[in-house]
Amino acid sequence: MSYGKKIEWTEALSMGIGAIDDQHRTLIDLCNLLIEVVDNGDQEGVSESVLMVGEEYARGHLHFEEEMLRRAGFPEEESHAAGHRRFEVKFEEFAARYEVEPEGFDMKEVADFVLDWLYGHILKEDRKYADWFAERGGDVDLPDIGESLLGSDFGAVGDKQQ
Amino acid sequence: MSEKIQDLSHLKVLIVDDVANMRTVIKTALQTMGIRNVSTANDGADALKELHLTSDYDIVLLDINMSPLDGLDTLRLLRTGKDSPAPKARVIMVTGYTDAATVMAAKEIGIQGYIAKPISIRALYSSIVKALKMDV
Repeated sequence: MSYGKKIEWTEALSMGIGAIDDQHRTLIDLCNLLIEVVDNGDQEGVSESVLMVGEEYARGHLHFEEEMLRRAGFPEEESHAAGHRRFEVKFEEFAARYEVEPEGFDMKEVADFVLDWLYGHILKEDRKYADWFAERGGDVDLPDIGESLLGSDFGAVGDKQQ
Repeated sequence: MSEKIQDLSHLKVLIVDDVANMRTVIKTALQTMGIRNVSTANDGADALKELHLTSDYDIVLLDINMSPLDGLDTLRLLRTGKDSPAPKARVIMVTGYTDAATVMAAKEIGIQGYIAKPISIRALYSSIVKALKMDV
């Protein structure tokens, strides 16, 4: 069964924090690539690259968010981070299954999980911190996305935070 | 903390790959490291045409397995062709091949690095940083 259409960014997904919205847009771009692979089939191992880049970017984004919430003293930072760990564990499970049996791997299962998680997490969990920041005037101390993405050995890699 | 920060956001990159979704994955990976000045070409001939129009790309990410003009032939034309638009372009081969012979052939013609598919942000970043330090 195919998806037929891709995800579009809407204002409902905006957290009012430019850097977070940019990262969510990139995650949606990567989701749309997964949908494309599911709908139109894989070519020359694109799916594996989408999974690798997607996992790396998602992890970087989650760490960026956690650091941002930690710096701000967001009271629900721990439970928010626990939701991130659940995502990472599930993704590790997918990766392990793919490694054992790439031929029989169902990419749609990953796409379904990511779509559910993305909408559920952004619209419910991320909204909580967005409202919390908004109540405090919207000032946000942003971490470095390069460091979150590539690790401290690499440091910033030119991300332009808004 | 060995490696120091490298801002790559000023770079101009050309992605050459005959698979549209692969071009999009690579483009997205580049964007995550701040590189937004990115163009794409569908195969070797398309890349040479683009380089004739604009030759000031900092990095060319060149897929090997393309038709009709594959990556190795494109690389040869780029390096030694009489009318090459950019003989000194910094080229990173992006390959699904794992055989050493293909990579060796590309190295002999002249590349500044290579990465194997599936690509990752980290591998792409490292290969670009290394390529920028290499002589052409």
